[in-house]
Amino acid sequence: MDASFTPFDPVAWLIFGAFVVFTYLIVRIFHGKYPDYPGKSE
Amino acid sequence: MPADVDELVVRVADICTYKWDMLRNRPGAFLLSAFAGGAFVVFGATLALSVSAGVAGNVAPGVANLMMGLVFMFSLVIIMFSGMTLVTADMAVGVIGVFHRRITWKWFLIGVLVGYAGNFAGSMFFMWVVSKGGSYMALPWLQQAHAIAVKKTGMPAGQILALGIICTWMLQSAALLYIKANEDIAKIVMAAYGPLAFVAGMTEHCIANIGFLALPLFQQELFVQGQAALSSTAPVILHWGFGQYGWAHNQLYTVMGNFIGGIFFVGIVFQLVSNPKRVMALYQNKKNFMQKL
Repeated sequence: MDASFTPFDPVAWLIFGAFVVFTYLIVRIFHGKYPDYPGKSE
Repeated sequence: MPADVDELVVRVADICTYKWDMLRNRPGAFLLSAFAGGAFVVFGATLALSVSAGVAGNVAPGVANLMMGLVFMFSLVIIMFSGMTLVTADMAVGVIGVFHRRITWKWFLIGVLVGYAGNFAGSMFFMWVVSKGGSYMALPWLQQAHAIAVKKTGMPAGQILALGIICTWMLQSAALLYIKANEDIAKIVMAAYGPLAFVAGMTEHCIANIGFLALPLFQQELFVQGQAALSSTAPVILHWGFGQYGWAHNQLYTVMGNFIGGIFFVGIVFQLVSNPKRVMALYQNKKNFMQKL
């Protein structure tokens, strides 16, 4: 990664964007696989 | 016996329900707990600065890191035992709450934003008070505070992001193990390990950095005057904005890294390691869905 001091560092934002998408997808896939998870609710 | 990972994620979800219930029904109390949590973190930063002045130049840089970590480590202990709010802990707790359908993504984001605002205010206010304290106006402490800030703000974006990820990976692992432990001594050891690791490990924590960077900025005039009497070389001038040696430059990439470390490498990992069928069985006999820290 190049030495960057801009608030719009493309690589950092790409990594962060990928993290947001993956996190959302992981939760969605988990809820798709276990639709009743965790079972009894409040 | 400490809880197994299946019981642990249920405990974390119960803590999530308690915290977000406070946010929904008593937002002022939630904000106040975040203010206190932010101040508690920079209690540690102040002590770390106090013990490390002059050590790196006269003993060894690694010893300074160890000393800073040893005095910083009780910050998380007092936050966890008092039940106050630390936004980086809420990131990991909140994502497990989302898996357990205790909160929605919208409420997760609101909780993180309000938690950050309270932590910011507490950390900044405490450091402003410290900046008025005479002991910290002496040159060795002004130089040490400035050196820490130059190191933290002088790194490029990618390096700060990486150290932010490492920080919450270590810190939130310790926070979840605190919840896993049953006895007070085990809880203290687990909570102490997190800040010891992230400070001695030279990583970047957004709330700690608010204070670590604000103090030398509040005292910059004194530092420049003191340094001018010692050397003709102009010191690095810190600033609040983006760009090299800027407070906002460090804060932006530290927050991003802290999100990734705490959520992706801790919250999601613990949740996916737990056995969904065993967790669902635990819910069958469950009556209480809230737990204080």
